[in-house]
Amino acid sequence: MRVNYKSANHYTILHGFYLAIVFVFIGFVLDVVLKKPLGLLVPVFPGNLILLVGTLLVLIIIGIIFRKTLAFKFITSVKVAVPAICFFTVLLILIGIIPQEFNQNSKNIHWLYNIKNSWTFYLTGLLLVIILMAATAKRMKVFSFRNIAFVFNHLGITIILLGAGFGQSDYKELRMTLIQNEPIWYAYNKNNELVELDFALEMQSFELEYHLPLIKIEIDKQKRFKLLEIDTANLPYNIQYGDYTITFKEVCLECVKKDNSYVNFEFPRAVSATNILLKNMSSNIDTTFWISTGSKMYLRDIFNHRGVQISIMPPAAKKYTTRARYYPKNGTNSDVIIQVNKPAKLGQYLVYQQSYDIDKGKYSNISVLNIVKDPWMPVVYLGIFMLLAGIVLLFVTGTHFNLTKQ
Amino acid sequence: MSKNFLEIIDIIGVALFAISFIISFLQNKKKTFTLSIVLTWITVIYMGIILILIWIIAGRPPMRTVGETRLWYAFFLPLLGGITYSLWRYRWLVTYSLFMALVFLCINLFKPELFVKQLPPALQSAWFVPHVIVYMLGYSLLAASAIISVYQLVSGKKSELSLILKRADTMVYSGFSMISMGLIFGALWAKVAWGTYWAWDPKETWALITWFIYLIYIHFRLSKSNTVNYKIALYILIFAFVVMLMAWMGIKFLPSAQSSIHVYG
Repeated sequence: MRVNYKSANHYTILHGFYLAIVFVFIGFVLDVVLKKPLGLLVPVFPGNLILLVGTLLVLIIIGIIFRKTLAFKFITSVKVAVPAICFFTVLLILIGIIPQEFNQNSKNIHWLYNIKNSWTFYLTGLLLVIILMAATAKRMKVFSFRNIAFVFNHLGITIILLGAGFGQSDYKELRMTLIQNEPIWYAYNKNNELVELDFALEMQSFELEYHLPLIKIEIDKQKRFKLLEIDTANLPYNIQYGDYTITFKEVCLECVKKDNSYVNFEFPRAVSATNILLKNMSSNIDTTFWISTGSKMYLRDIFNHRGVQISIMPPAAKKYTTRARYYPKNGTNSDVIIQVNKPAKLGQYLVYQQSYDIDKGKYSNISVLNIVKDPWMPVVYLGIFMLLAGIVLLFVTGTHFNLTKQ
Repeated sequence: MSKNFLEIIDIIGVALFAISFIISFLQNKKKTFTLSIVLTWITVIYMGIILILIWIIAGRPPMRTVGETRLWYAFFLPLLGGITYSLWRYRWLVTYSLFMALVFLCINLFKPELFVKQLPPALQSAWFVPHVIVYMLGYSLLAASAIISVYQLVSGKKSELSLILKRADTMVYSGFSMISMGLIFGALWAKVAWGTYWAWDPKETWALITWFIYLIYIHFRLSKSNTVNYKIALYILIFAFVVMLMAWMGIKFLPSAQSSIHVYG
């Protein structure tokens, strides 16, 4: 039988697997021989933009020249896409199972602990990107409703990957620790190197709002425990649990221990405490006691008697806010508010609330911020919204809810 | 809200789903299926009311713990069973949806979680509700695709193979659209909260793995090999479902997830 070698159908999914294996194998050999990945060497702006435009032009020219060849038809087919996605997924599964070493200086760590920075990962990813770009270019020529969904999906992902990949050299993520009433004009990068900024921030106040403390009640017989939020508005109040009636008589959210009781007092090492009357309904015996969260100054008070344990948990943070004064090198000073999920835009930077001195809680005189400069963010967002539009179109074109039994 | 209230909800839910499942199972081969469908819609209404009630009482969306997401799953599954029955008259999909919802409510009943009203600052975001809802809806649709594939593999009927595969595709395309949105919403949320779209947290990695496996299915179905090896496509769906469960509930058992910020409940 004669085989028509001019037809792309001559190639099967198995050939796609051979091609993907070549990429994976080269990557694996490089990992074994070089032991350490070189990393993606992308120049900073405008070098990365020139490189991106150049790469796109080269790919377009290659696409135009070779678009009618079998190789191009093969690379843009699902026969290569399926094996490439399969190999990339296997690497992702390994990343998902094996704890990954994030240390930048992990020279001697086996590549399995650093897969994201391995040549195998880069080359498998590169194959995926090549397929993605070639397939997008091929389908952009034909305009149909179904094709628009395809182009939006694939082009969206391509833009995200290109924007994030070529833009990573311009991406800056710094950690800044503000100290109350001290203007700070520097931050630290991931390698803990000091970076001077073109603005300063002076923390004026740090505000921390807490949830109410939780009470944990454990009765051995029940083999379960109950966790409930303390109610400060309706004191005193009772709850029933098993054979017991628990009466919350007093609650103080910030207090100190005095003799065998607690009194309200606001200071950094204060604790939350509550006074409880516990009554056993079967034996009619009752007892009154205090329990507290404890701090670096006071031991935690827990009730533990005859199989009943009652404790109070330290209140969790509900909301924390940094109020600061912003001093740009050029421009006017202003006040800024930074909260979790509400970053502040300061010039080219976005400033995120990260952490604070957890030991001191609401008395923290420091606030840890994440400072991010991501000039390629609009490009990535463009890709994301294009992908989102493609997904909606995929839902419309790919589903057949109206299929009836034939 | 007391834990007893949640236990009562679960007990009533388990009883309701168990009765609905048994009746639907018994009616599968009978002429009439009306009672099963009525009961299915009752379970949907019950779960809907329960979710709204918990939302109102807790003062926050019931999506914080894995146990709470299981309640959403138990809501979406019979909803899909009811919708697909009205479209395609698939009785077995209704039965299996009720069975799976029953299993998830049983897990909640036998492994109750701590119910806490409090939301940490990072979860107080406009992205929280859409992120979880599209994921739960997506997981339910993808579970339905796994049910369809198990049905086809077990029955082995060839007469309606192409129709069944198209219906599995419909479930996958709609479920895949939902989990893609969930992934995007999560990335946009992370960007607003921490300044980075992706942190390679194990939960994120497994969500991406799930997404990639359904991507393999979609591309495999577009290749010509799948008409010959349709069983491979069906096995991919079952494997994808197992990975999806891992991403949803299993990651806390992995060594890589010990420092994950997504391990809760």
